[in-house]
Amino acid sequence: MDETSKKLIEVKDLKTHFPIRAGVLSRTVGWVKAVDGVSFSIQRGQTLGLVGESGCGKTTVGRTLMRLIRATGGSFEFDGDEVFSLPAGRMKRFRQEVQMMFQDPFGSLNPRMTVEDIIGEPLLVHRVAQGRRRQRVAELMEKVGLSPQHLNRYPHEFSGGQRQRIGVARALALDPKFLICDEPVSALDVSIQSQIINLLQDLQSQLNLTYLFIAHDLAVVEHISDWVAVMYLGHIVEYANRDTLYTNPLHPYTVSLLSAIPEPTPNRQKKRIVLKGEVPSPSNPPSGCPFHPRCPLAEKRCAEENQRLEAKDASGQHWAACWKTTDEKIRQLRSQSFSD
Amino acid sequence: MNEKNNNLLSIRHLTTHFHTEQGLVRAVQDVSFDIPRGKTLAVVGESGCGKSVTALSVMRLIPWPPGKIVEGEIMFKGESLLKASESRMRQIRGNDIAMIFQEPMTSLNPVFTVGNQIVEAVKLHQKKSGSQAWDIAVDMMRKVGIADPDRRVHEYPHQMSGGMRQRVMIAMALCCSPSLLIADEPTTALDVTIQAQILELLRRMQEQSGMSIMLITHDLGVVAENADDIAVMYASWVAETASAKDLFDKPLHPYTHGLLRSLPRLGAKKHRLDVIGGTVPNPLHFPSGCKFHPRCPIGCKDAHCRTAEPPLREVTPGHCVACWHAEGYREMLNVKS
Repeated sequence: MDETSKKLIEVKDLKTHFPIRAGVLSRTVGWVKAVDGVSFSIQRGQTLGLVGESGCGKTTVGRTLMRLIRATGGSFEFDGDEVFSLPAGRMKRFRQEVQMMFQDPFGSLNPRMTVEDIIGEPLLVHRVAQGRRRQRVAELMEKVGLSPQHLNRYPHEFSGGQRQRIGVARALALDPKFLICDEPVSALDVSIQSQIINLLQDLQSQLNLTYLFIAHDLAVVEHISDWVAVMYLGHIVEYANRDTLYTNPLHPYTVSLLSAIPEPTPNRQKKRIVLKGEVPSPSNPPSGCPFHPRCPLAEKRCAEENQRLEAKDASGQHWAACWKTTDEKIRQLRSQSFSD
Repeated sequence: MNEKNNNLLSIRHLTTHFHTEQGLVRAVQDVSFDIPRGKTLAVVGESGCGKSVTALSVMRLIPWPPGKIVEGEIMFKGESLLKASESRMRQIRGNDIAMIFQEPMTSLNPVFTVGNQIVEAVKLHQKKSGSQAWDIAVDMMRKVGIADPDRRVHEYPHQMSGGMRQRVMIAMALCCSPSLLIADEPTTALDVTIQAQILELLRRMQEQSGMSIMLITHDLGVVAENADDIAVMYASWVAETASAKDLFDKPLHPYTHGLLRSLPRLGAKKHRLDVIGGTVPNPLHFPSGCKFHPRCPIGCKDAHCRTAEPPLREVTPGHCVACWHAEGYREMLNVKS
């Protein structure tokens, strides 16, 4: 296989801006730049973890790729096709091949539909498995670890973890190639989270699925991802393969984020970098690097111009958007927070 | 000082029930633990395990109907809270025992400025004039790390971010210098970088005032770094209590053990996560005997676990476990370390 056919997803310079309207005439008075120039690619059968704090635009990326929100700019190549300019006839196939899984196992299932109807609805819409829908739904339920005897039950009869399994079964109904998982485990109890993560990994290897895994929990993302992109205020600030990013983070935001996670090991007191202040509003982002008002290393240049995401090593495995990645200070910051 | 005096709060055999339309919910059963002065006790558990109801029982804020504290004893500074009159409880609440909640948006009143709400708490418990109370409010807001407090006391909750609102909640809770702070999932709704700020703030305030904290959370990472002692709850009862070090180093209950192993950890490089099978039981239909037995690798095979409820007993000094197999389960499961 050559390089291009291994890539399933190629996103270039994706932008999603929302207008702020005011006044009687609802004139546009400004823009919320929720996603502002995001680029990444995902290989077939791999997982890209997209992490960031609330409001950084990670969910908007997922929804824009689903074409639930219209992109303001950029391109999205899926399996060789440019999705944002697909003719209406081809969209239907795209909608079969790309599916989404949601965070809230309570809000994402219609309480008035039985499990059979919920999982079978995509089959109905796309006229797949006609005449043997019930059989197909039962197969899917078995695949995600639910008992097919529960076909006629309603969502409220299931626990949170089981409901999330129903969501997975629905997403898999049309044999998709690409699954966008938007915080699929963050609403679940600790002992249930690991069950769903294992399920997602098993399905990935069985069905050769490709995942975009959106989450805020860095430990979960490390576990499941092959590549990781860290977002801050609509930008990707660091993008690297998993091991590189977690062992050798280059962007001060990634370093602080990793150091902020409380770890379930009591004796190890890591020196925490406590970031000052809060994430600025995307409707009024700071000048230059979006992270500079909170950055422990910021200098004059950071407030003036933003460094674009660029490769920081020869093999192109590690990308960061920061002027100071070669600076001695980032090494100090890293060793300060990662030494035992 | 003998041991009894050193405990600020002692809970013994607390049992709280809710009479709902679907039936009797035994939300808290036979819960006992102590919080020493100046220390932090973390109550850890999954949703529906009764940790919040335990906290509300301490505050006597269980609404009747449907809820009722059926049994038990809660001693706070030598005084029985369950026997205290309602007016005495009003003196204690917010003054000696303060509480902060998970959702800082819904627990602040949207139609009053944050300053007003702090002042209300001050005036309720201290004989202060209006301007003195405002000074205290501004001072508290500065202490909890809100920049420019003179201006921000006049802001409404919706003008503040989640982290700022949680700081206001903490300012309000601490304005009467309580000796016990009950923090119910104080950082669950916040981002990690803000969570780090709030936890550091709580630690600093504890160092300054010497108060005790009852920290309710489901996040074992938060617990490991902030608690002195830990009580693990599961399905309405206490499974295990120990010092933080003992609990993480050598958990004695199969549930705690499974929970710690199922966590994805930074840098662990595990191919697959260990899981606890099954689901958290429905509070309307808790299993018989040991409540963990249907999910327990040992309990599901043992008839004794199915029928007899294990009592909380001290297995090693300071380490109490409610499990029939606490001593032997490691060998039975072939646990190495």
